[in-house]
Amino acid sequence: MSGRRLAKLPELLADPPGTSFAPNLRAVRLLLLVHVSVQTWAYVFKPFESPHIALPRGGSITVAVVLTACCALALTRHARLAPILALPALLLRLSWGFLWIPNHTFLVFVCIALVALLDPDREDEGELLLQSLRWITIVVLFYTGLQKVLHGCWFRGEFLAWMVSHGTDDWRWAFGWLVPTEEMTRLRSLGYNPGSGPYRVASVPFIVLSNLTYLAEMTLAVLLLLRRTRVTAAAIAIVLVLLVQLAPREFMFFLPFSNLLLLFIPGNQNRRLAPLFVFCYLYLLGAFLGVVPGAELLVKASGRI
Amino acid sequence: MKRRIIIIFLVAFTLWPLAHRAMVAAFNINPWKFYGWAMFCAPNPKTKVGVFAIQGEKSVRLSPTPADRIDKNAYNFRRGILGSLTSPDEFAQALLQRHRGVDGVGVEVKQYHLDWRTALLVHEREVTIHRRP
Repeated sequence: MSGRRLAKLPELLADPPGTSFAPNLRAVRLLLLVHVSVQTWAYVFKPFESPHIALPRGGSITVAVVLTACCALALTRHARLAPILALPALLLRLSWGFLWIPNHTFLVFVCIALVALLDPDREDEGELLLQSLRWITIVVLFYTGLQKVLHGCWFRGEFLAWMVSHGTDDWRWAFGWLVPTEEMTRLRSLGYNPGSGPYRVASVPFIVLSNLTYLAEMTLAVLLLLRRTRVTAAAIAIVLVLLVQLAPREFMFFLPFSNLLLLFIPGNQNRRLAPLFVFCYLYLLGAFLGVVPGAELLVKASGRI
Repeated sequence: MKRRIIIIFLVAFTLWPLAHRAMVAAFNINPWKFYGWAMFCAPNPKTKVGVFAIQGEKSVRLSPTPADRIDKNAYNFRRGILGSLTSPDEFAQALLQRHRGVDGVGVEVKQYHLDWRTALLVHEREVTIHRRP
């Protein structure tokens, strides 16, 4: 990208002058805090069994209480303090399992650090916050596609074939219908011995779907940059991310990422849909705990969310 | 000042995944970890660490103590994420301290990955020998 185009980047990521974005950013701030709060309560109610990632019991309860209090604070006139108080608690929680931190947890942490640093209600800081969150969304979406290209396991459906073979039933449910019966039998019979494979499927739709995944991710990321295509790209990206996350059941990635993608759609959509997002988070936690139905669809095969 | 900090961070955030890919290639770090946005790009690598004892020039079975097992699992966990960035030296030294009667210990790390060229499963094996000083 040339220097001139690079200089235009902040402008590309901004809204037209006069657009009100503070209510939307306040909603994003609340939803990010709800996310980390729900995630921490999930760790409290069902601690990890592995000693390498288990959080101290008392510590995780304290962090969950602090983060929940920050959610409540985010609804008051002292909302500006909520992410600032949440940040040390969250840092402490992340330090307990540093090596293991999932990417989506890091993404939410970065976004909370940004809303702690920048005040959505100050015009200059709010605009920078909006631009930063949008840029982060574009970077993540683009690299999820580019990394698939760089690792080389999506051109002929190798990764999907591996997951259909060795992954959970959710992967077979999501992609098995594209695999001919005899190929499915072969894939299911493959073990972990050296030379096992090949993890390729003689099915054109399967290979097309595999290639469309990374192409869509990278293309949509670029289209999010352009004002003319931004809204459509964001709407398609939300659907795409939902479809991509159906097999691994990574709804704790889908929810914050779709929240970030909504920042590209005018009309304060984050604020409008905030009650729905809060409901989704609480329902997900409820399904995880087994108090509401839907665990088989919403909870990962590992039993986590 | 805030603007400058954020711009520096965003530049680093944008370039990091490329460094991440290079680190996966050079050090075999887990592509699913460390914020390179490479989840589901390749099968999540599984690592298996084994140990054996050295007596003279021969390798013999090491009867693991409970402490050995804990250390082995901890190293297995670290190795599966950090790849060759984490050395087995500290783990091997702990084994040597607990097994005074052996001349040395060996640490074997096995890992499989999917070769994108052939779409076949490839096993990698790395053995390091740690002799008593």
